[in-house]
Amino acid sequence: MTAGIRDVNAFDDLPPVRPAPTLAAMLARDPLAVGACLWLLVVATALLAGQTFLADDAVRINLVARNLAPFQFDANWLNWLGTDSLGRSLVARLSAGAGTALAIAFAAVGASLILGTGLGLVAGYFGGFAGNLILRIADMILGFPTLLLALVVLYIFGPNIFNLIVVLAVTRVPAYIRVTNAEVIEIRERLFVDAARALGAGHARIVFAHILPIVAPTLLTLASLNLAMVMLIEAGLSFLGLGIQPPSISWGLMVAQGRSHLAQAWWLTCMPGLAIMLTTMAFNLIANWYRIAGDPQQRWRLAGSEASK
Amino acid sequence: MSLTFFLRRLSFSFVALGGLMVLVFVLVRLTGSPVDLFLPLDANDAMRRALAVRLGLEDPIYVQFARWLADISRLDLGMSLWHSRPAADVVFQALPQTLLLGAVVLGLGSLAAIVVGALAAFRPYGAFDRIASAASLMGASIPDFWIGLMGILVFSVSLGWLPTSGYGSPSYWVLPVATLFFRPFGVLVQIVRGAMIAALNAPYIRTARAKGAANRRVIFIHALRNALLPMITVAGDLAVQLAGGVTVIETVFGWPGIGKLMIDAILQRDFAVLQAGILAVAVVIFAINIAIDFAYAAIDPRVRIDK
Repeated sequence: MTAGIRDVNAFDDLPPVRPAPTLAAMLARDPLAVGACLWLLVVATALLAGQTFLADDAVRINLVARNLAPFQFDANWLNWLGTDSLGRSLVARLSAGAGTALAIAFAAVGASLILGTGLGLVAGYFGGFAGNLILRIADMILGFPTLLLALVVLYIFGPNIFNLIVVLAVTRVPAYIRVTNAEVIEIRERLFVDAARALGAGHARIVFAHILPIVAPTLLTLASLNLAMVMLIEAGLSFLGLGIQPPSISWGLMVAQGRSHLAQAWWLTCMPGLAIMLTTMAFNLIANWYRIAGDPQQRWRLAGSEASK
Repeated sequence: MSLTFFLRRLSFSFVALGGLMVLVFVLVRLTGSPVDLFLPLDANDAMRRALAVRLGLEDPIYVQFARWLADISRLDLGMSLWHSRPAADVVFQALPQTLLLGAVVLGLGSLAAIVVGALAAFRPYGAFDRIASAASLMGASIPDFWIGLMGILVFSVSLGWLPTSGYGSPSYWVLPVATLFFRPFGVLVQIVRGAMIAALNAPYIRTARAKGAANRRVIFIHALRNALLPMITVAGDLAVQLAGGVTVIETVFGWPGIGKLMIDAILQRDFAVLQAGILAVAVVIFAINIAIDFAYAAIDPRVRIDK
């Protein structure tokens, strides 16, 4: 008790509160996160180019220029990363693949984020039989190997982009349900929620205006990690032949197609894999940075030098 | 861990197992008849009919299901259409290779992660920590099939040191194990590091230090034991994923494990093998979960209290 009183007086000695650093300032303090953002910018540019003026080059066959090695900068810039066994430009094909990879990742993660958060809010806020049922089903999905589940479902319903997104989303939903549920159960009991209820707020208002904003940073971090994970699973499925089907272009499929030319043209396998790795790493790095930036207790690590005292 | 708590977990797992099997039985039969796959295109209707009758595919689906349930109770998982052998035999032949590979990978990954994670946590945001964090992040981001192919390219095709694929002497193990090592290691280092930082800041560590315990003892005896709990949870999840057969890696390296068996069964519409495989994987996962519960109880006395 006495300690509490002393604490109150101790506030007088504290330095004046500094304004929280802006997101941009905190980003600048983390070189790895800056690098990740720059790489994602490159990918986004490639994605736009791949959908517009490079779209034809990705499928244009040029037998004269087949299996050209990469890094020959005196040649046509489209061939700087090499060409495949049909003489198609790897720059153009990687750009086209960026569209597929990111579209699937964002669609699957977006869907699972919304669905999982919604179900998790219901389970955590209302509980009861429905809440229990939601959690048990989530456990069941989580308890089974993701890739195996995706394999079976995709084989049965056919490997197309829509099914791929659905199955990836379904296997990711339980993570959001669990996290949201756990956080909501704790937040639900806090004083400000009681205060809101006492002031006459309805369930919808309490959930969306008071609880959701507190859970959101955690969920967004999880979403960023899941973007990386979903990209890896999609690449793996496409590699096995149960994801994206030719003639569509995906990075995982490109690795698989390059596999038979491994000894003659290593770049066909190496480049798309590198693209997958750098992009998943970028998402992981940004999640890492955001976890610190979004946490008031750790934020000082990313603050300017004078503010960190 | 009281007996009732244990039994409840057990029964829930069995219900989940049963639900899964029904789902697989129905879904697999939706994909189309294996008759089309086995007979030549010019086979006439009578021949198709005969094979379908022989395989029992003409019966109504609930009769097939009842027959299948009865068979399962005798551990008879049906005949593999592709191998012309009991499906259980085919699956049990493949399972040990996957479990062994998974155990080696997870064991090495956990050991390395404990050492690296504990050292990194000793000086958070120091030089070693930054390098370890970057390396673990990279490990968690690498597409495994790609690093596997790159390994084949460098060590098998270019240098000729290791075999490209297959199963046998220790040299066949190097590339698959090395390839699979990255992700568990990367994921676990982050977990151990985080848990160790939290543990090292806990009051009981200050007490241990105040009593004059040596640094090494504080880190590896006092803090690590508590930091292991979250690691066990995550290692369990990783084990579940590995038990499903590291399908992609088994395909890349021609590893005769259950993952490769199941993807082949999917492509060959080998109902019996696919079902037996999923049942086997489900039972293994079931066992892993129980093992995790026991590990918890062994490490954390709080869990042993009756609930």
